[in-house]
Amino acid sequence: MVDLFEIAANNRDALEARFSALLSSASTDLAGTVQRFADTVLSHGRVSVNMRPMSLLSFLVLGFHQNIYEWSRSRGEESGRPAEEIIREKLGDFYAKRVAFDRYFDKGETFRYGALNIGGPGATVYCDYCTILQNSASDNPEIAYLRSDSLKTYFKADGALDEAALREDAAPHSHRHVCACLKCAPELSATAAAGWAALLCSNSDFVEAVFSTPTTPVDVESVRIESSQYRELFRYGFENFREKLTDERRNLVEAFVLIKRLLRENSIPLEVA
Amino acid sequence: MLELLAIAREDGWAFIKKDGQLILLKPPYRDSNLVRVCEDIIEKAVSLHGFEPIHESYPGWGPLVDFLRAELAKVRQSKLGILDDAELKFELLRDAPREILEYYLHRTESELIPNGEWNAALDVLTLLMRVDIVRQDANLCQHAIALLQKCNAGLAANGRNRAELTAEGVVRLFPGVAQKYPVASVMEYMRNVAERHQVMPVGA
Repeated sequence: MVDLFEIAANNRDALEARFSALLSSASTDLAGTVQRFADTVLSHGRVSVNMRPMSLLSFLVLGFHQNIYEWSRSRGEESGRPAEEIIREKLGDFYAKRVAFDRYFDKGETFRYGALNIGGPGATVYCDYCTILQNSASDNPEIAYLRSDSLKTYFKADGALDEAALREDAAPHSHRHVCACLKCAPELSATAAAGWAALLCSNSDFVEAVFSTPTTPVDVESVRIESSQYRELFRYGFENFREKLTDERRNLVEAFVLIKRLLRENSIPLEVA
Repeated sequence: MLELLAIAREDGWAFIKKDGQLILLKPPYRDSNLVRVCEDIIEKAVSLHGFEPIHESYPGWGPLVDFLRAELAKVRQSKLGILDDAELKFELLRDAPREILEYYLHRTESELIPNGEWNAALDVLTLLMRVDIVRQDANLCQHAIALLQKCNAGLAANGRNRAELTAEGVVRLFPGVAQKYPVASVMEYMRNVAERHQVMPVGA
């Protein structure tokens, strides 16, 4: 079995050599920009996991977040159905690729996925609340950063996993900034510093963080919500004084209120991005 | 024809294919919450973000939204619906930032009071007076008190308008009643109700 985290840990020297080559081949201006971007990622880079309101509520109430394998095992124990059957049903057409990636690796069924984030609400197309993990929760040997979405990036045309490409890219936590720079350098010269967060993590692309340590609310540094959505929830709140909200608006506001309450109880700040 | 491809039932999010284009729809269901997305997003949504693959066709947005609303109603019954309305309103505002509290005061002043929406205005203002930030901030607190005074004045003026009901007003407002009964009797009856009887809401 291949150990993804060991690959990442053993990649330090190669990543540093590539980073040095990048800086030395760049113009003085670009090298300075790349170095500032690297410093920003190193100081502000956190793993983010986007969650929808009901998932976030479950996480805050239950205190844990299950991956697909843990979820299917617990469902299997409740129902008596084989966990594998539940995973197949849950993933449908995407079952083969997902399990092919995870089971290629040692401890692959413990994998959890997030994105490297230096600000902003993350990939809101999947989920609208962005949970930011503390740096200390990710600063351990069981994490690897990959230059992009693993399912899109590391499969060859014949469906086999591209281990060589993955071995080249995988970075440990200490070198997440290098991974980010090697990926984003071509765009950095045309991107103002204010746009770096969106360059690094957006709906269309991100540096993927694969980690195995279960996360609990204690590991959460903050939860972010987009400012437009935040204001909209308060607009609904105001309308609620005039007339009864529709069920779907009330669900959104009530979930938001419960999330705020649970965040307060767990001393987790809510940030508006 | 709309093809529903993946759904997050508890949150009412759905990926739909329409004319070959993948669309994300999330509540509240309206045109501006239809987001065109790349085809490959659905793989990640199902593989990692808890979306459930589903292959169902709908003849139009109406039936599809009805289905999503029915799913949300199940969540409301099982997991939400915990807070009553008063609690929901207070919890939303209790730790809201100053700018949001100012926004509520501004809309009360510019919309509710001019429209004579007295119950809503009083609800907003009395609730704001319970919020720590408002109580501890002299400007916000004085603004809220000033608006409460405006409500008071507005309600008093409203009461005077009612008291100044004239025979012409009764004929204009209640022509059927004025034809059947003497106008003076109707006015006396109305004064009697206004002065001696409380309005008691009944029914659901």
